[in-house]
Amino acid sequence: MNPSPPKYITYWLSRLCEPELWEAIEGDLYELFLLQVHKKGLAYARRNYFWNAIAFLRYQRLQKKSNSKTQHNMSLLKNYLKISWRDMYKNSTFSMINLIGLISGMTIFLLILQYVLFETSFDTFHTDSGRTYRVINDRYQNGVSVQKGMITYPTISRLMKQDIPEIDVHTRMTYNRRTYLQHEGETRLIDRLLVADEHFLSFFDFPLVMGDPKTALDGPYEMVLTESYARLLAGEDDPYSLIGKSVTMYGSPTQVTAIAKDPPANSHLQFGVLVSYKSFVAAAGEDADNSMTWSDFYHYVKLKDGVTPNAITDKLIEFGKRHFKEGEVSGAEEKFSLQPLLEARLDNSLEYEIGEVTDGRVVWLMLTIGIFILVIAWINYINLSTSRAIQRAKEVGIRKAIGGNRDQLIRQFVVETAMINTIALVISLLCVLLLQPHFNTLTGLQLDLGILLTTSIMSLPSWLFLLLTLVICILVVAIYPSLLTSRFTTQEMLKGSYSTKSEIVWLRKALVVFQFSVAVMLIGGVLAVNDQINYMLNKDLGIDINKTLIVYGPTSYNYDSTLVNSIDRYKNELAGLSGVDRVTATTRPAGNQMGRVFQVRTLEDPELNNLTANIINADHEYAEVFGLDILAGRDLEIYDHNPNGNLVNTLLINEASAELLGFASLEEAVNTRLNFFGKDWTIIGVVNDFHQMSLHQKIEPLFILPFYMSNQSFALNISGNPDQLLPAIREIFLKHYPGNHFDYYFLKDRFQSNYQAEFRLAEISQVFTLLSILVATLGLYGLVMITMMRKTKEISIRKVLGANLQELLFALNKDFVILIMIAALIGSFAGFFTLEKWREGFAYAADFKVSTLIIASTSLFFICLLTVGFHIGKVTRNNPSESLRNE
Amino acid sequence: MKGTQLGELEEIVLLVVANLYDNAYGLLIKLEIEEKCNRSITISTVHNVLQRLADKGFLDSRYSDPTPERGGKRKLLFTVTKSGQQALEKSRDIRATLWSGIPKVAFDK
Repeated sequence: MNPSPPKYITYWLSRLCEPELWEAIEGDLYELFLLQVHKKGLAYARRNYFWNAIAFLRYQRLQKKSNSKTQHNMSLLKNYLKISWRDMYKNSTFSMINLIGLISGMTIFLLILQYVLFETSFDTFHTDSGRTYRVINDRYQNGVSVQKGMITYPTISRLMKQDIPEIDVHTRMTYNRRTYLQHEGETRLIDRLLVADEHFLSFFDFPLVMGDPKTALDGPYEMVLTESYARLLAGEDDPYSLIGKSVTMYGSPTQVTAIAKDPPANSHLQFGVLVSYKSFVAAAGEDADNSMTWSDFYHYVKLKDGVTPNAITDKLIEFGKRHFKEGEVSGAEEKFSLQPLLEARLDNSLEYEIGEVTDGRVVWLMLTIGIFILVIAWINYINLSTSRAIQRAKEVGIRKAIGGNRDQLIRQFVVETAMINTIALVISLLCVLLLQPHFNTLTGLQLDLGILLTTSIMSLPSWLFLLLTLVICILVVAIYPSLLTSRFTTQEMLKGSYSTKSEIVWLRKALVVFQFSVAVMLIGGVLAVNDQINYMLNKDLGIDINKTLIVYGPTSYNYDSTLVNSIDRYKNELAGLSGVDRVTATTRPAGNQMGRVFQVRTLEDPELNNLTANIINADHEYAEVFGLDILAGRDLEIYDHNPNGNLVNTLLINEASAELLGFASLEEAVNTRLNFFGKDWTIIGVVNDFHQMSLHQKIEPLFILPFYMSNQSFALNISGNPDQLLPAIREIFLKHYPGNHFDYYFLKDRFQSNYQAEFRLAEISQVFTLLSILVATLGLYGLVMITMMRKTKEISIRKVLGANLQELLFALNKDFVILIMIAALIGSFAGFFTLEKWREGFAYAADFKVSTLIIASTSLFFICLLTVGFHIGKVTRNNPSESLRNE
Repeated sequence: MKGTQLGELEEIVLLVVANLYDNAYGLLIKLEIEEKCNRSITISTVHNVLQRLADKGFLDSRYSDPTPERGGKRKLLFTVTKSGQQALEKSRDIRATLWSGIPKVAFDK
């Protein structure tokens, strides 16, 4: 067989070129092609053929011919546009329905897209983001998962690099939420401090403004400030003068070696100050470098090019077994795995998270809502344009009669659709600009349309991807109705039998059902989200946080034997204020993630060992301040404390612990003995289970230990007006701890901030669901209008024959009612499954109420009935003789 | 009048067509130019120039019989017309006059 040149290009050229010259050109091209196949091979020849053919585009004859054709098309295009415009103008109701639908759909979609693009752009700015992973450390005891989280031991990534050749580079870090830093006699609170090792700056792409990334975090007592923190410390004028200067951190002078740019908003790691890891080791001891039991550290690794994390899964499991010997080393079986950096932002399921993360399902839910609304708007367009085609039958018929072919009919539809979509797009872009500030308040993010330029979807720039999608959607939306329409003969169209063709009727019905199923789903979703929020806000937590004020403790003092007395003096003075009922000192006010102890065993039953419990260090007034019930035994008393921590040996447990430890009754637990932290303890009492964490998390076994610590916060039970109390509290704080930073928060607010994602989802979905219902109802209204136009005669005849309003309403509503009922059914089922999925994210979810979906269905049902009834009512009130005469 | 002047490429193509008497068609002209003049030229350029020359009336064209080596396509064969011949001669005369007018010393160095 002869080798052949690329056919498509020949075909394409031949359509553009004058036929009489084309033969010679094609022949020459082919001969040249054969020559080159012979000389340089097929691939070269094909390539060359392509370029030679392309070069003919300059060919003058070609241009002359295509010119004339374009002119012809241009004049037709003008005609299409003119007709489309006139048609839009004449049927302004339909045009408005379409436009309003498309504008709301596009506006909402663009807003949501900004949000989704922002959330999915997290950490993409790192050059190696594709091969960067976070180390996850899962812990198991007796085969049961007891912790799944980010924190692990300081040695891990170093050992991994040694043991597993696929690991390229690594870095480790830890953080302090609140640290104080002294500069020129002033104490500053640093709330975003990251302790990072010497690899950190070259591992990530956090660029430095000044300083050398290789050496900036290289030695002890070195730190890097971000630009905004440098401004905070040195003033606006000369933030860079801090380089080389020394500030006091962890009680030691620490040198500022570099200034970094602020981390971008789409980085899950956020920091204001980076302190070298060696400074931390110097302050906290060698354990911070090489402990196999101190778990407070975070590791990130990069794999070598082309290695997938799956390829080393087994090696990581093996690694955990080798170094931790099934729990002998740290008290739990340690399993390691890798999480891609790019998935970090949208996964909030890990405990002890270091970064800013969010619930990814909410993001995808939003995107789905956005797409649904847009699709509903386009369905309106399809429905109205297919149904309305009958009114334009004359136009179509005439076009066909004077020689318009099918291609041209389709083109007419495409031009029309493109026109209305373009108008909608332009207006919705304006709407987005107008609504942007409100949307930003709603999401709490700084978003704008610029994100379309800086991000990419499927390796295309986002705006281009969008534009292409829009073009494709316009084609689909335009071509389907036009294909249907153009398939019928002129005769059929003129007779009007076209619009009752079963195919079109079925399509229309299916689309309406789809629209309203989605609407039912959305309404059901909104109701369920609100249900869940109410449930979470109103559920009895087992702990009283309504009137609790938390005051941060001082930082610049050390633990010594006088601590207990000094804290008591401070507490007593606070409690002496009128309006403050009681005060307790604790390390973990509610809402804070607790630490865990892994090697708990009971002295009674040697079989029960290696158990895990959460730990709260608190003073003896903890249970009273937080309104906990002592279910068995006694509360902590002042004599349970001891300045010498080694002599403290009593504890309170919660109900979940009693169950974990295998006690048949709560009374049985009292006075039994446990062993952990290398010594024996006695259980003195059992408190009720309460929610330390948000309702996303389960209540876990808990030990309350009577320790005074140096890093405690103080929880105040207040009954007075906080505004009047705060100055007095501040005064007492500064009297006892001069030079410290006074800071406080209200526990209830802080606790409820855990539900931010749900609040946001509720607010956004409410607004958008309303809009989607509006759009769908508008579409239905338009559809009813069209149907009624055709049925005016029928209605009039029925009236003449004596039908009353009710009978008419029934006869005309019947079709729509059936459709809406089917939609309600489908929507309810789909809604049920989606909601079940969403509820899995909560350890404590509101009971699923069937009424939610029933309410959703019936409310939508009535909205539809009103819409349809409103219009039918209008038509039926007319004098029958009028419409009959008009016909 | 526009069209009586010959561009440099036009002149070469016209000469090659004359050279190839009765067998002058696009591809062969391209190959001939590449061989004789030692310059590369694309097939589309050749067609473009041929068409321009035909428009000016310097070339006549006719289709040959179908040939198998071109996938059954006919060749478009070109011949130089009388006015084409005149244009070539005029061009040669102008050059000859100019050459003879060069003083000997000008090229001595």
